[in-house]
Amino acid sequence: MNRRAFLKSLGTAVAAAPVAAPLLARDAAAASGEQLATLFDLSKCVGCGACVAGCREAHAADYPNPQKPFPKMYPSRVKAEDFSDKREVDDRLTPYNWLFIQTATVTRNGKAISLNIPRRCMHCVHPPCAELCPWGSAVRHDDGAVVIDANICLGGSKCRDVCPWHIPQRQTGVGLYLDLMPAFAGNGVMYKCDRCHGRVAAGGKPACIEACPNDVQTIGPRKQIIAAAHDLARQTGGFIYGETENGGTNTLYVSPIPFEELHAALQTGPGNPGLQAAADVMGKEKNLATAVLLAPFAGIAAGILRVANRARKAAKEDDHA
Amino acid sequence: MPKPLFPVWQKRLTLIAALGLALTGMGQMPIFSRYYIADLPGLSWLGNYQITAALHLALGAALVFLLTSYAASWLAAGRLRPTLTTAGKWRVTLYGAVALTGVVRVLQNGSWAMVGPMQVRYLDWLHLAVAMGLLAFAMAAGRKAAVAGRK
Ligand code: HEM
Ligand code: SF4
Ligand code: SF4
Ligand code: SF4
Repeated sequence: MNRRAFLKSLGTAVAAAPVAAPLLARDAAAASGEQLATLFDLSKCVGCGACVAGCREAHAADYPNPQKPFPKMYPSRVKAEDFSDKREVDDRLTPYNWLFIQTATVTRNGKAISLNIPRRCMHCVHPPCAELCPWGSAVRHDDGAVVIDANICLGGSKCRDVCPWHIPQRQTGVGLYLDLMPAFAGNGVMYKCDRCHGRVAAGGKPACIEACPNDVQTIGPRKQIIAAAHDLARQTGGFIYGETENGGTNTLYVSPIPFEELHAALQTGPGNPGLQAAADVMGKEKNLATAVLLAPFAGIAAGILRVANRARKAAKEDDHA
Repeated sequence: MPKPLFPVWQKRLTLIAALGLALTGMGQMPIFSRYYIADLPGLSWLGNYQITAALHLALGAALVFLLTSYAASWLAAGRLRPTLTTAGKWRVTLYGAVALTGVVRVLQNGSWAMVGPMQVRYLDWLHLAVAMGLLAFAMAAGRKAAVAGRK
């Protein structure tokens, strides 16, 4: 078979597209009915920090206890990240603080208004932190919670690099890398909000929701939460963040002020995410993933065509003989 | 003389895809930036996960196409079917396993997750282990013919 026939078989792949497409469907609602989402009504948040305190209490046992001094790491450009002496820090994300309150002050009709925004992992529907983790330690559970397993995480911080909000935070000196080659690979463990996966699996609610005196946050099936967010936005003339960002998340904020304005008013930086329009990280790979699934159809067609062509040619040569 | 069932250009493409996959696969782990490789002129893309992940998928599609076409030709060849050498059997197993674990990992990110969230680690470790095995095989016996009676 020649190259042309080989290319022809690619046509088969196109014909097989309807088979492969549903396997990569990225519609969150179609993906599962059971995903839970949360809704923040920002107009209700007074910034009291009860949720932050509740989170820290509920997860105290999950925080790292690194041994010091840390093993030396090579090459020297690899820096330790250490919050173990700054456990009390609660105005940014750290390995010891998975939720914090941002405050954005904007001017409306000549008046300054401040909005409090509880910030933590968004629990994306297609989380790049989990879908690109090369070690299988960051995963998305069926209920939509995105969780990093501190028992096997190596702390390479790829999850933080690929997260649109750079949420996961590293603590050096703990975790599995210590048992492997601590000098040459890994650098601790990444920590972030696990949406209280354990509590929710046991039938409870996230600690931050229970701690809030103002019922700022609600949790429920994704579909219902999206509907509730739209209702709320319609009733209050508000705006929604999190429904479409990064291709869709399971954390929806409703605010009386447009998110572009809030974002512009924030001082962002390490552990201090913005509210920017976040493009769909994994969505960019969708066409390539489809190509991977179509490749076997095209390959099988090409292989069979080749043998068939050889047989035909051989028969022709016999005729001439 | 009949043309060989598996032409040289297809074998070359397979080798190129495999080498590219090994490079971009390593790029899935945070090592190129750590070890200054992404600092070399022209290689900064090796430190960009978006780029290496996309290339790994594109090359993965190419490899799966080539491998399945070998397999289909081999099965359809009937009495002309070449016999695999021991090296050939190893090659088929290793390439098959790396491609299979790779495709399952791609499906895992779509809406047909075949393994549970807490089992993804075994899939990743297996893919990595087989890739390492393939690399070791290529260095030890990469020049041995896969089918008997031909070069
Ligand atoms: C010679 C062939 C290949 C080599 C040497 C190779 C190597 C690697 C390595 C070293 C990794 C990073 C570690 C890991 O996640 O296990 C990786 C990841 C990955 N490979 Fe491959 N690979 C090959 C073929 C393929 C193929 C054919 C596909 C798909 C069609 C594929 C899909 C993937 C995916 C999706 C990941 C990312 C997994 C993750 O981030 O968790 N690979 N590969
Ligand atoms: S917000 Fe970042 S850390 Fe959280 S699930 Fe999305 S990608 Fe992962
Ligand atoms: S869901 Fe749980 S882990 Fe996440 S911020 Fe709230 S209390 Fe903390
Ligand atoms: S407890 Fe409720 S009101 Fe207080 S800061 Fe948290 S979300 Fe806002």
